[in-house]
Amino acid sequence: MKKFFLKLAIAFLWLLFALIGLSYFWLPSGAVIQNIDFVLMKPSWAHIFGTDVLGRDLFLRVLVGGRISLWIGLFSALLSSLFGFTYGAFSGWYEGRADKILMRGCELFMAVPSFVLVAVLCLSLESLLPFENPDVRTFVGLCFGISATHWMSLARVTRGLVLEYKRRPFVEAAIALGGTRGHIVLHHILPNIKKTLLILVALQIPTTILYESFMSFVGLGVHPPFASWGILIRDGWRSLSSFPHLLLFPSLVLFLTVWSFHIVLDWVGGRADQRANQKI
Amino acid sequence: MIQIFFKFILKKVFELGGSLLLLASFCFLLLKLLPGGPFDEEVSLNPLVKENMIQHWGLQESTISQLGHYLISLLKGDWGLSMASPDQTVLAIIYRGLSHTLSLSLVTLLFAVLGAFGIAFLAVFYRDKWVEVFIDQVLICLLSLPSLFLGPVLIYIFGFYFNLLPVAFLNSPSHYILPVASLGLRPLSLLARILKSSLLENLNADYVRTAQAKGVGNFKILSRHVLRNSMIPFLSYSGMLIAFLLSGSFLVEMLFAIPGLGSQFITSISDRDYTMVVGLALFYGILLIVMNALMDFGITMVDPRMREKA
Repeated sequence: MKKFFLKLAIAFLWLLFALIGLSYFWLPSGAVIQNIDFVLMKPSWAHIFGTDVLGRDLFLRVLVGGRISLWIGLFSALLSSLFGFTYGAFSGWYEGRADKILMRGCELFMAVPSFVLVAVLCLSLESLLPFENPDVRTFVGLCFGISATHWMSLARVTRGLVLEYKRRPFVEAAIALGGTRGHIVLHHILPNIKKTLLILVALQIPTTILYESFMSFVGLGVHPPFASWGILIRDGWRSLSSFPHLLLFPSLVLFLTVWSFHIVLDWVGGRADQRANQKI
Repeated sequence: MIQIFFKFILKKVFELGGSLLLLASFCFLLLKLLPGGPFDEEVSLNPLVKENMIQHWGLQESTISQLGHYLISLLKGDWGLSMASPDQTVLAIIYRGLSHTLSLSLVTLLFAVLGAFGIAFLAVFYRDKWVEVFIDQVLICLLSLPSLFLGPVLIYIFGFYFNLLPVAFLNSPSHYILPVASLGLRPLSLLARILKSSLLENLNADYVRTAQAKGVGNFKILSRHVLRNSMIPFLSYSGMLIAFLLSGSFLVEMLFAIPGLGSQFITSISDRDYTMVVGLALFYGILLIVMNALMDFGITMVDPRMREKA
């Protein structure tokens, strides 16, 4: 059963990425053009997810929305991991008072419900960023806002690992040979803790994808002419009682994406554990 | 025991009072960066009236002096009036919404913790059988069910299709079922996974074999030895869980039309109601810190090694 689900998850992710990739090169006009003859149709063979209030094909809309959702998810996961790693490595390397202050900062961020921070950060970043295009501003604002609240766990883990590896003989040797701090952390410690960190980074992706949808749903994320899964779910939510397919399909795709990520990561994590056990 | 508890609280209060002031100023400054002010409404006010309002709230001063005034009044215990509805204090508005948010969060927490215990025990009891594999898969499924998906789908299935359960407000026990399910299933699966893995880890530990060799009963081994050790990661996660629940309740309150703090926050932020937003952020901070302190206290109670450290 486990194998079957894993295959299913991998197949779904491939299909999703392939279709979204394809949509960059070739997109039928049904995704953008509004057509009054096709308004609010139930799912059929011509429109497998049905059509929305403005007669656009929902399947294509979900693909177009997936672009934004996935990009924001990936970017925020990367950004937050980068920040978390730097923060944690700093704090682990310099121990003592600096470490204490940095970890207090970490706790402070954990003490605010993330939504409060993201909402305020996104909105203020949107107005501050120097980009002309408002869509780019929203995109970057969301990425920064989301990553500002998701770096803490990675920072803590990195700190612990750096603290642990600092005492290893090979690091002491590198210090004795006169290696600079940045060099030692990046070239001696990082290769050793890479695997653990990569899984954590990958685990951020489903979380950030969900967060983006959540923000767009509440109305503080991407704005309506633009599509993202959150926006599509928001549109569907408004007409839930009479046209449930508008809500069902986008949220099903969101669920399947997050589920596939979890299944695949669970498998990768399990394998990494096994390998570690064999080595010992 | 009570002494340890009070020492703990006092230490936490002093440590985190500073952090809270920092948090308040951080939110205040960020809010000032937002475009627009509390008096830019769709129906534009008479410029003279607007001028008067700005004078009244002291918004013409520099941001730093406004922040200073705010922090000083905060230290005096005065959270100010809401700018959007100036006949009410911020604290009164928080107090009104609090009962809904708190009861929803607590019921959900109870549901998640009890459910996690049940499921984890079931999985451990039937370990290495198909039941465990099945539970594992269900837990992963639940883990990827966000309230954004679960809420609307549950509302459609139980509210509209079968017309079984009420879908809005929190008036009677049956009103709680859908919001709690859509908010609590994800934390439940997270907790169950943590508890299950730590239970399995501890069941293979040497001290369990020793206890068995001494002839201690199975139930006693589980309750006295294994459970106690497995509670530590569980409790330290529960603190984070509360933050998760409070954040998640924003969405659930919106979906189920519950007049709690979350919906209040969303309206205040779009109204640029400065005092209200900062007040709410601060209140959430205090709530989380108190909850985290309670969890820490729980850990020290369970784990004697931590007690010595404290």
